[in-house]
Amino acid sequence: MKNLLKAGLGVVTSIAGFIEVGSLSTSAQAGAAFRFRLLWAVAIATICLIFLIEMSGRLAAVSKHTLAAAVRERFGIRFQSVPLTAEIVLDTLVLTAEIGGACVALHLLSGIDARWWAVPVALMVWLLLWRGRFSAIENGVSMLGLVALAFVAGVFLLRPDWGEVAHGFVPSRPPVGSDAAHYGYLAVSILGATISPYLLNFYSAGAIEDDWGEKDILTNRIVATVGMGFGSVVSMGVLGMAALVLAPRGIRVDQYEQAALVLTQPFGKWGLPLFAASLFIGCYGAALELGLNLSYVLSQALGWNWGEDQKPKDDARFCTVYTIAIAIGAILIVAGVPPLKLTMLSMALTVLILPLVVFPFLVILNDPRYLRTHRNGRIANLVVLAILALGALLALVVIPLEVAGGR
Amino acid sequence: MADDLHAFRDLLDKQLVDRENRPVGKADGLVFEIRADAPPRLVAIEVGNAAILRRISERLASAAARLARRLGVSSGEPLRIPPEKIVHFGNDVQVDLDAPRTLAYAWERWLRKTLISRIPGSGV
Repeated sequence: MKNLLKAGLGVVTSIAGFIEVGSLSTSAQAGAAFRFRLLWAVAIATICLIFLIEMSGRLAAVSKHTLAAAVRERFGIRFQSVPLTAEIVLDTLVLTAEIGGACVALHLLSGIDARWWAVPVALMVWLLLWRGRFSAIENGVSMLGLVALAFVAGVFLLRPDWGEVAHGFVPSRPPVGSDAAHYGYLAVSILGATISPYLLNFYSAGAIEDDWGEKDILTNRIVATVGMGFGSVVSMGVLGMAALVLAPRGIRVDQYEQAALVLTQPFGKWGLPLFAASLFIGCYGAALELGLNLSYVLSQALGWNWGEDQKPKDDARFCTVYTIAIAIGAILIVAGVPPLKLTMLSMALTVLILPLVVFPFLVILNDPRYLRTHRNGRIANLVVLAILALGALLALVVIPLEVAGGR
Repeated sequence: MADDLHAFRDLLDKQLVDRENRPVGKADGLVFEIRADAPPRLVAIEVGNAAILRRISERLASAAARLARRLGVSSGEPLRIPPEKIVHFGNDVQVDLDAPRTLAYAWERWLRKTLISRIPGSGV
């Protein structure tokens, strides 16, 4: 039971990687446009993420230093200022998009215009960060996040052609006569935007909040796998539902009302509330995670006192950071900034800084002063090198693909 | 055995903690004294926004110092810790200070007073 609770950190981390507003819409678009053919991208992204998450957790458990702190200490502020600045911008953009996504979910449920929900949603996010303890956030959100398994259940209820599903796991070129640029764009979106720096930083900070130590190394490995596996399965479920429900009708996802259709076929009148609940919890959880992550990376890179379990008066700088970020997010949504546009921008930014985020893993995870006897093995290092190569490739193609294939 | 200290490997950018292992800040800058008839000598570890920003851009550093002065946070100068205060070297560097009372916590104290303590539930 105790180990089951530890899985909460993995599950809550994966929500901001797979179930947040940008990932949900990307998966739905991929399924609607190319049926099961892009499942391989979700699978590769998941494997990369499991490895990097495991490393972030192991670093924190053994050295009691988070990833952001170790990058500062090992690479210095001159190096870190680039990925750190990018991550602050990125986290604020994605936080804004999540507040927007949660507003859309409430709009779907209530019919009230999404912009009216921006301030209440922002207050809900802020209040839980202000008053809540870390364990309440991770366990509460991860429990509620299980509702998103409705997408996976839906796929089974609709009995897909499992041969076609299996085929989707083999990387393939876009089908003849289809929009190749859009296919490439979606593949890069799935791969690049899943391997986000905020997941890695958040997870390693969470391992410190939960006071993990060397005894938790095996737990960390399981939590990383189970957590990212959960997010991945939900993401595949969304893609599958879009493939089964939207693709045959030729519906392309450019509005959430259309994406919401996917659950009405298997679940009838429960479909829309289930979709809205999943979207809301995904976005709300991701917003909590991003707000906290902003406070984490700044505190840890600059060496401040930090911790979600402290009273706000005892880490005023920490609390000020998320308070300001949430206020900015709410203002942008009230001003009418469309969340989906923000996710496109943030995807490009995520992919562009990916190599700078991954490279330190090669150095820090092999440093005996941090990892002692728990340094990376050869396979782990090869995986990091492969992700680095993949990241460099993605960074080269992301801008042209976004121009040619984004919509 | 007396180990060598590599200022850039073992000190610069490292986490500084106080007597009770509370974070002070990072070692944002190192100040050496240049002497005519002897080798340079480390005189202080600097902690503070101005010290970090000085390594990136002098203009940003003076803007940060001006902001701190205008808001009444501090003089804008970084905290200077003399090397005699160093107690222990490791992944973290322990110094003989009481962190929350130092200049490194000037923004922390200012934000607590002007913003955080005015919001209900801050624990003040």
